[in-house]
Amino acid sequence: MNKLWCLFTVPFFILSVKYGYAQFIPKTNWSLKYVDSQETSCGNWAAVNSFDGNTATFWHTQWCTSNPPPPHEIQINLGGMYNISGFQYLPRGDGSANGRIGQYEFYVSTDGRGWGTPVATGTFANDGTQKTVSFTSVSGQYVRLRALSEVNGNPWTSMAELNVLAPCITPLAKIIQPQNNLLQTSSTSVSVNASACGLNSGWGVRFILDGGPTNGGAQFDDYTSPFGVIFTNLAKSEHLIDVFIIDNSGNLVSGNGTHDRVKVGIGNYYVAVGDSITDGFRDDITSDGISQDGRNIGGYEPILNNLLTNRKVYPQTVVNKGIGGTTSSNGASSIASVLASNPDAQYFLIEYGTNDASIPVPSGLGLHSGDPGYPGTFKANMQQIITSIKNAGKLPYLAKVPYSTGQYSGRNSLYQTYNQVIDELVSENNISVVPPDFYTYFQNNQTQLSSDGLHPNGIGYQGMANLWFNALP
Amino acid sequence: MKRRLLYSILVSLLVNGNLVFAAEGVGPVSTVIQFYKASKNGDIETMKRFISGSFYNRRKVLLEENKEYPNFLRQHYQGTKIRVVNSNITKDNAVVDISIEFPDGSIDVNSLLLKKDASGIWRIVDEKMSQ
Repeated sequence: MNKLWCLFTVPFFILSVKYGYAQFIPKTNWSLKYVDSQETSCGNWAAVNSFDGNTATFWHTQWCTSNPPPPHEIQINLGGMYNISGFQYLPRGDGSANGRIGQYEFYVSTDGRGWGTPVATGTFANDGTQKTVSFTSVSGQYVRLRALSEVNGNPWTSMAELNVLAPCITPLAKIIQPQNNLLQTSSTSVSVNASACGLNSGWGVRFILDGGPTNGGAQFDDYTSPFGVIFTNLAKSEHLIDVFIIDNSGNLVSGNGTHDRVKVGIGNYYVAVGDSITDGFRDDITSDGISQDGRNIGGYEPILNNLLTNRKVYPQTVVNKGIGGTTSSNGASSIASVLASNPDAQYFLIEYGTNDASIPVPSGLGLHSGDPGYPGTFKANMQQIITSIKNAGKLPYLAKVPYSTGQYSGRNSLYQTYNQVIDELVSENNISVVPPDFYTYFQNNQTQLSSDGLHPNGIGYQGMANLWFNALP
Repeated sequence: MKRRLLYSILVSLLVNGNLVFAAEGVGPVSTVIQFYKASKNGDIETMKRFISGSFYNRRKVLLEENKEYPNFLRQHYQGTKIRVVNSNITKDNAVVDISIEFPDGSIDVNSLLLKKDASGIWRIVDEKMSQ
């Protein structure tokens, strides 16, 4: 009856959802007990990154000066005794599969010394999604995750975030979908699914959009699991979605965890693809490392988001899909998966070439498909990326390869021919945006490069954001 | 200690395309030198003998399909010198750091990973790039 009433009174309806009966053990008192390997000599891939609550940071075993083989393991002190009924493994989120765990073992211990047999073993699928493992509840204060293998047989282990789960004993509501800070472009409808556990008989879940009807939003009470709703006709703006547990009289149930909130935007969606310069490696300014809306992290992307949001006055996202060490060839190979994982993306900001010059990859200047010197060139690879993006109905925008100094100065002559290719590609593909000229910019502003002579420093990334901002419509 | 001494000698060793390395065809440093010598000559078949794994895969299309790649390599490396600046060799693995010096004085550094296969042959399997 409630659902029918809802259909006629507010513009949303019920969706189905599976919901779990577990809650996260808070990480407030977690500490690292032991890790066999972590890379901190050439960047911050410390083990504690795997339980800092930040999915953008990750633990990575050593790879700069040595590559110790698996098994790798991390042991964590949860700071107190808990009933533990599962865990979640979130792989690194930068698109690279390096270190993604294949076979694993998970242990629980009361004292951190006697581990006994694993409470769970298995093999994770080779993808970037969060994996949830459940097992019969066991009491303990310490957990241990052993990575027996990497999905591609490499020697590394990496992990963005580990969550440890406990059986639900108090009322708990959690929004499963959408993820916080989702940005949509193709639809003005938002599906909301919530899980709830620890409910008394007759209790339900209240969904509130933008503060409810009295504030111009909407509200819906759902007493039938699975709990879900679709809000439609959302304006191009930020929207807040709240979920509360309610009793059988419609009163809010008090207590920690009985309320959850996410923010959803309807706006513009950019994806930045490229190498470590797109990723933001060696960005030494932390204060602008996260966009004001919390959507984008690292490098020039959050800064560009802020600039675009101020200009457009509605939500923007510039998703950072830079992967260190990649070439235009890698970009051509991975663009399909980037497109698939960002179905709402509208614009792609593309910058490769720095690592191509190290191979060295010929530019392909003046060449076209069918010419004997065309296969594998910078031009061939970039054209493949452009074609894939255009075929998906999106717009590709190109940037010029930045200038390098010092120990990488020998690459500049190739960069210059790559940049001539960029001009050719812009012309041949009718790309409307003039490529931001990072070569000239860093040639004229060499103090904005970090000490390695290749990656921008924090000021340099701000400069890149400004150049992109000035180029974009 | 002897190994350290050998490395310190290698650090100062300057090799150009005309110099034949004493241990040619044996150790990882020699493998790297010969690979770059073949690159400088645009000798694709010889280059392929010294590489495998990711290092080969990253160049596969250029080596197997691009008919102009030999000419490009000859032109790109013309007048360059290759210097081994460091090496770290264990039983079956090695890291060799090199610097390519261009005629205009500019340089490009790279760190190469080598493995010794079951038949005892060293091959370049990867290059160090930021993860």
